Amino acid sequence: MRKKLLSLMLLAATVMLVGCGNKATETKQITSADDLEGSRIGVQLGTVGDLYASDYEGDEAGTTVDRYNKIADAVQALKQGKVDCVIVDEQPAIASTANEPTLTILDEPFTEEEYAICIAKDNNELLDEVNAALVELKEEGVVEQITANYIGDDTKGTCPYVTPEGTTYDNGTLVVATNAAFPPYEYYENGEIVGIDMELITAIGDKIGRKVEIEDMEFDSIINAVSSHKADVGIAGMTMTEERLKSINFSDSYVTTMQAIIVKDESLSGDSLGFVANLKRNFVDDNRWTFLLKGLGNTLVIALCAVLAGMIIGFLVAIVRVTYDKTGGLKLLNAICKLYLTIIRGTPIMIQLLIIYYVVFKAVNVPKILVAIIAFAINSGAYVAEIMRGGIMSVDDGQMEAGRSLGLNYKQTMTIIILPQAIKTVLPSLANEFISLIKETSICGYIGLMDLTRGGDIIRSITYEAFLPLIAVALIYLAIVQVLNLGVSKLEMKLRKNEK
Amino acid sequence: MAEVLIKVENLSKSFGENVVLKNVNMQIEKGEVIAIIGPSGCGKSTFIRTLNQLEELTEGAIYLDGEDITKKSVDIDDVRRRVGMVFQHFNLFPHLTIKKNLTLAPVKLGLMSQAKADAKAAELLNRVGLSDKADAYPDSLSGGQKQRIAIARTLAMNPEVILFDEPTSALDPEMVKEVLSLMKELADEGMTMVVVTHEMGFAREVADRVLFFDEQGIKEQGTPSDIFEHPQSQRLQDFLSKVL
Repeated sequence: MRKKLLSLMLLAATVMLVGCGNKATETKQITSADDLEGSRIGVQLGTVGDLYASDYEGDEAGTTVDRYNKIADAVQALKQGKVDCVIVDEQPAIASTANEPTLTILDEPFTEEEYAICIAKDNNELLDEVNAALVELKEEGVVEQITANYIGDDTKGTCPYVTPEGTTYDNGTLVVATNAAFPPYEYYENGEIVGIDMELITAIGDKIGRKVEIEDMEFDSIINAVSSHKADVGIAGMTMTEERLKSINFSDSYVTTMQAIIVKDESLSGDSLGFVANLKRNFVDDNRWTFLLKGLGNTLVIALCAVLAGMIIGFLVAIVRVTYDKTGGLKLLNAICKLYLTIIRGTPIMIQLLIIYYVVFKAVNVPKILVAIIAFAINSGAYVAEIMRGGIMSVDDGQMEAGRSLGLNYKQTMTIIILPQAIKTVLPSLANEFISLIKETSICGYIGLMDLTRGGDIIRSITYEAFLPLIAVALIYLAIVQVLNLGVSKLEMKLRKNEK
Repeated sequence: MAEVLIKVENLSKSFGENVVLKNVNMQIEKGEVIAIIGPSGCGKSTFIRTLNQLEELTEGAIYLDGEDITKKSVDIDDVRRRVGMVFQHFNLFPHLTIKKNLTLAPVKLGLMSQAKADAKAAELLNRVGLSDKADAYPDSLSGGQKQRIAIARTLAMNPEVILFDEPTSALDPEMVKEVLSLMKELADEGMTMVVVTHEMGFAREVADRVLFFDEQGIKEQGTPSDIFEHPQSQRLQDFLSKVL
């Protein structure tokens, strides 16, 4: 019965989603850059397109700018009539409209611009090295070769960059921040991040004797990552702008490109892919389902480790708090614990994650998954502490008195008599904490860690399809949570039975 | 003259502004059975709980075998091993079997090996007539059975004295008797006992001495016949007329 209801609700939700998507509000037809005034513009947050569109925002004609995390989202919004046009870099514009028959790119480019590599302000040595390498690579025709390998129907895929024989990496690694959702500059193919920028930075690494290590993250996180030395350089089709120069340095430019305007042309129509073909494109082609599998693995590892570590933290905090409440001891520790609870429960987990990644671990190179586990463990610990405290408080005072009257000391009574009873009481709540933690880990993408949600995001950034990857991710979360819920109710039943 | 086991000197206890006990003096001899009666809220439970330091004193001293147990330097856990306590609400450990309830403390405190504690538990369960419940959990027992187990749990520690804090007050009337007769047996065997009770019959029949608590201390004390046949104070007469 419950199952039926669930699938019914899911169906209704799906219909609503699709329905919303098709309901096009009044659109303004845009034929040139002059029509932008008074229109609704879609851009990717933090890009040059965003910057240009912002000049129009709030003008007398009532231009609005919608900022999306991904180009794919902006394109999807355009398809559904939520915006009138999308301003985006030329190449991604071409890639993202390739499979969309109703979308077209205006012939007249919006602006011209140059891409460059960003490097921290206090790292002039590296800046000089990179610039010198760029000069050499340009002279040797390598830059041209790499570009041709990705752009141009005749040359595509024919001339990949190959590391010269005998290259050694005596100068260590070069950590590169990018946002692999920007074809053909950086994107995923068969689980690998490839693209013009990737080949170019590898070539630069080869020149300066440093082995390239790619870190994929949100576009608007790249400058932060570089200036906080989480990464040595950032390369992501990034244009030098006044605003960015305030916080970061740029190398010489390595490519000149244009901003393009994508619009929806109602007169164009083509066969959209059928459902099965679409499924295949999103999950089967290039083994894209492995993004979801890998992401799911990370999600589970993070949630499991975090909840275990969180329980230890929560346990200790709860004992300190209860000991203070019951005996007045551990005053200082109690104050510290209270502060911890206040801060953690009073701020969003996403902010905590970002602070731990960018501030706490600023100078240390810790694997991201460990950062995520630590952040979620610290967060979960606060909630577990309060659950545990409630559990301990719910044990009758007489139990403590009985234990003490038999000559057991406070610690013995706590561990042998009070805690086993408290844990039994709170076990279902702890399991529920684990369930909500699984869902909370969906923000891991903000530090560039590929969890389940981000796995779906990566597929979306490749296929420019919003619907299927999102629904697939949602279904996977739902399935895990349902299985765990089942486990929790079984556990509850078993515990109730044991009492008798 | 019999040996003094517990001596209470100038004991006072207040909760904040509220003075519950004031300048209580008394002593308990080895093998003596003392019943404490009095109206509710008179401090009799507080008094008995100070004897094993579940309640701390505000002033005064309590000597157990001549040693002041209210001093900070005293190992209070050791004192409590020697002073058993039976509670109104039994306070059995619900997550442990009956046998484990009995053997937990002696084994954990290193007083007995598990085997020896098991043997002792079997003997005590036999004695309180609940041998068949060794592997049951407390929640499957009736109130009377629970209290008999609680008494057995205290006995497992071989205490020098047992404090009973209203041991039958939470029981259904038909179960009071089984607990009281067990207590009577203990008394007959020479166990030193301090019993806070509303069971006047028990006090009259079993106690060597009865203390009437009222107005922040011991208002009147004496043998059961002194107290029940010849009450001196008006307060005691009023109290008895209400409960008898």
